[in-house]
Parts: sequence; structure tokens; C-alpha cells
Amino acid sequence: MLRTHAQTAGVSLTAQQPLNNIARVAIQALAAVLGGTNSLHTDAYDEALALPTEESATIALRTQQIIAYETGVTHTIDPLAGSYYVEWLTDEMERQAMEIIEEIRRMGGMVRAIEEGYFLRELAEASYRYQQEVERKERIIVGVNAFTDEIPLKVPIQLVDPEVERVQAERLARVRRERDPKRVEEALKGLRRAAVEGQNTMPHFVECALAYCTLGEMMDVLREVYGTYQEPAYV
Amino acid sequence: MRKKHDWLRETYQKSLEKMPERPVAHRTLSNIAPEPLYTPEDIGVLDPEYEEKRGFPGEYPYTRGVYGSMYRSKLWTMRMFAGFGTAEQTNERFKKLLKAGQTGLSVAFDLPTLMGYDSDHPLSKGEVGKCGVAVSSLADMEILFEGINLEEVTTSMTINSPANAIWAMYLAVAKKRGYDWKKLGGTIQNDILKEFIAQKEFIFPPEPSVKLVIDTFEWGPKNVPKWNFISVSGYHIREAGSTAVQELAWTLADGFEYVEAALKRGLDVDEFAPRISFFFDVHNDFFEEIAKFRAARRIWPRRCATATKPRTPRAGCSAPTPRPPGSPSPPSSP
Repeated sequence: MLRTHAQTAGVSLTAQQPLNNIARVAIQALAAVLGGTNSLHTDAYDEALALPTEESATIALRTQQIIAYETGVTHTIDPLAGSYYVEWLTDEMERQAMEIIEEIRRMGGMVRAIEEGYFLRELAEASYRYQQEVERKERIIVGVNAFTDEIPLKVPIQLVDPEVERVQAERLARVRRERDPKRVEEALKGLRRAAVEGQNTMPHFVECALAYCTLGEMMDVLREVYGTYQEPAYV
Repeated sequence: MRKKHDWLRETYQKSLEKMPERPVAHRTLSNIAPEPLYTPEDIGVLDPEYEEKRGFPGEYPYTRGVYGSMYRSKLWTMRMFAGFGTAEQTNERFKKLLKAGQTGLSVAFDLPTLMGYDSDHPLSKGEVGKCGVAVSSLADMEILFEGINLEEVTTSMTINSPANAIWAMYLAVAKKRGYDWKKLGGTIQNDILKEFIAQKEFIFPPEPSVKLVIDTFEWGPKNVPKWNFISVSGYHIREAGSTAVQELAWTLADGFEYVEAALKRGLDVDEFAPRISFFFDVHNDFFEEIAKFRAARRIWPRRCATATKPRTPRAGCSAPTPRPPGSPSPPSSP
């Protein structure tokens, strides 16, 4: 049983005419609901520019509430079932996806496909094709490659307080000062032992957390045991 | 051919017993009262493939929805991803979002946290609190969830390579505040394969990375049974430039890969599979997106059933069913 969360496409948001993104998000959110999602995040209209402000995040939430309470799409379950197009397209996407799943299986599974650069090549090809279509105006993006008259508009931008770094450094220093160093040492030792011996690491992570080990300390233990990964260069 | 009448009497009723219909008018603006479900019999057509391909909500193959009564009983969770600056600032935003009617929390972490570095590490400079909240120790996590009832909200955390550590911090907060782990609900993203494919926020090589993920498959169901210890994610694959079909295929392939790795460790598919959750993008092509969700729901249990031989084959990576005494254990590898 596949339960799923959905998020509207961040990559579809435009920096140009940013208020248009409210309409994009609403339509995408409606598709997720008609697709039967179990959970949904709606992007804020200003996210091509910065993190959302409180106001833009609220509009995004209100968009979901309008779909949920005003449109009537929740009256009956899976209302688009039986649409010739939707059922045909569901079958077609299943068929094409199964072909790709089989192809990956024949390659020896995901890890092998990753190591051989399969996904990188496929992504490069798909993105290139899409970008070409946009540049040739075979695909129209409103406000980007058509209808580009900009209405002057001031979008308030959420800024991150530069003080954050200082506050964090101070809190970390206090944590390191006030915790029980013996418990920290024992907890990190336990984590290392579990990693080396291939045991389940979760009970040790919990003990590390309770001992106020820092995230960096825990990850450093695993960096030492497992090593780090550099992506090979593909041509 | 299964009749709608029987579905209404069985699956729909059973679903309502768990979660009654919402107390709103399930009527159109003209006061027409739609039924919970429409099928070929309602418009007098034949659809010989109906049961095999579409079926009924809450029933295999789940094309029409995973729950019997879907949004008639419970709307989707409105879960807004938020996080910036310090734990104090994000905690304040969380409380405002809950007050505005949001029904679940979703934490965005900053880049140093995602890469497993403390805020005061030299590599963290300039990135602390920028794209999400900074969490370097339990002290930050305690502030992040201060004043929020962890048994009442469900919390989703977008964290991958350091997922075990961050989840442990959340659970440590719950423990210190006296909450019962058995009652906690939420999700850690914890999908490392898509990091290698698309988002590239990995730390360790693929094999030990997957090992850490499977640790949560083994430990999670026994200790925090309502927690989704993975959210197999197509979102980042799509955002990296894939098509909808590739997103669908690669995400499900990732899911099957984890299932196989868990079986190799000797874990019980009926125990871990119900807590595997998914995460998809939803882009501009309206009907293609709708079809993508429906196809995903149909592929997963079908292929899972053939790959893993769960005790109830048609449940296919679905709800756990008690094993009849004396029946053989499931095979440890596909």
C-alpha cells in the first residue's frame, strides 16, 4: 500500500512575475488531491527568490484549504476514475515505468546504476531536451518566454538573521561545557563499536543524543569507520 | 465482478468505524448529494478490467486510494515545510502554522545539518540557518519542539545522511519530556539512494549508507511503531530534471531496492513494509501528475507481492496480517 506525501514543484516557480506562482501552486495542488495524495506541501509564491515570508507561507496553506473546503473535490473518492484519458494515461505511465524498472534490474540494481552514471546521463538528457523546448518556445512558460511585460511589484523578502551563527556557536560551547564528558565518550565508543561490528546503530544514536553528543561528533565517528564518498567524474 | 454495494457495506463501513465522515455538507452547491464512490455500474457501462486495474478504494491494487473513505473521512495532512535560522525562530513559526490550521509539522534543516556538520565547523560558515534550521545537538532539538505536544502532532523531518542521528535526537526529546514512543507519529526522509541519484547530499559510500537506512527498518517497527522511517522520494529526482515517468520509475525502483536489502538482513516484510512511505513532486502537466499518483499506487503492491511473497500476497507490502499458527515464515530473500 503506497501512502504518499506530495509537494508542488519548486522548480516550476518563476522569479519573473512571482505572483503568478500562486496560480501554478493551486493547480498543482489540485492535481495532487485528485491524484489521492495523503499529505501535501504547497510552495509559497516567493520561493524562487528566497525562503518564504510568514505571509507567503500562509497564502500557500490557504490555497490547500480552499481546495479542501470550497471546491467540492472531496465529495466523492477518486472522481477522475473512468475518464478515458486519465485511465489510458495511468496505464501508459505504468507501462513505461515498468520498462525502466526492468532496465535498472538488468543493470544489477540501483547501486550499480548509480556507480555507472546511468542517472546522471538520463537527467542530463531529459533536462537538455526540456530546456531546448523552452528556448524554441515549443513550451511556453508564462512570464518567462511569453507574456513578459513585468508589472513593477515589490515582493518582501525573508532575510536570515546573521546573528544565527553566533547564537549557535554559543549554545554549542555551552552544551560541550555542561554535559557529562564520560557519558559522551562512552556513547560515541558504543556507536563506533556498532558501526565496526555491523550491529544496529539506532540504540547507540539514541544514547549519543541523550548524552548531548553533537551531530558532528556522531557523524565523524561514522566518517572514520565508513569513509566518505566522492562522486566519480563521468564523461 | 465485485459490486459497489458490497464495497460500501464492507470496506467503506469498516473505514467509517475507524474514522467517521467529516461533519461537513457532502453536497454540491445545488444540493445534489454525491455518493462516496462512482463505478462503471453507476453509468451502466462494462469495464472488464475494472477490478484488476482500478478496483475499490482501500482495496488491492489501491489505484483509487489507499483508504476506504479517503477525504470523506479525513482530509490529506496539510504539512508545510518550514525552518530557518535558530531553533527559537523556527519553533515560533511552527506554532504560528499550527494556529493557522496546519495539521502536521515538517522540518527543513540547514545545509551543515544535512551534511552532518556542527554549526561551528569551519565548513558551516555562511550556511548556518540559511536554508533551514540549524540543529547541532539535543539542546537545539529541545528548543525546536518546545511547547508542542509530540503525541498530538506528527512531524516530518527532511534529513537523509544523518537521519539516524536526527531521529534519535527527536526521540530523545520525547523521552525526556515523558512521551510514549509508541504514540509518536511522523516521518524521516532517510532516502539515501535518491541523494546519490539527484540531490547529492550524501556523506558515506552507497553501501554503508543503505546499511544505516536498514538499521531504521529493523529498529523502527519494534520501538516507534507508528513512525515512517523512510519517505522514498521522487521529488528531488524530478527537481533535478527528470520526467514524470522517470520520477515514478526510479522512486519505485529505490523502494524495491530497500525492500530487498531489508529482506537480505532477514527482516519480516509484513513488519517493516507498512511503514514505508513515499514523496512525489507535483508539476504543471495536470493529468500526467494525476495519472502518476494512480500508477504509483498500482505498481507498488503488485510488484511487491511478486518480489517478496508476503503472507497475504494481495496485501503486497501492505497492512500487517496476523500469521496463522504453524504457518511457515516468509523467505528471507526474494
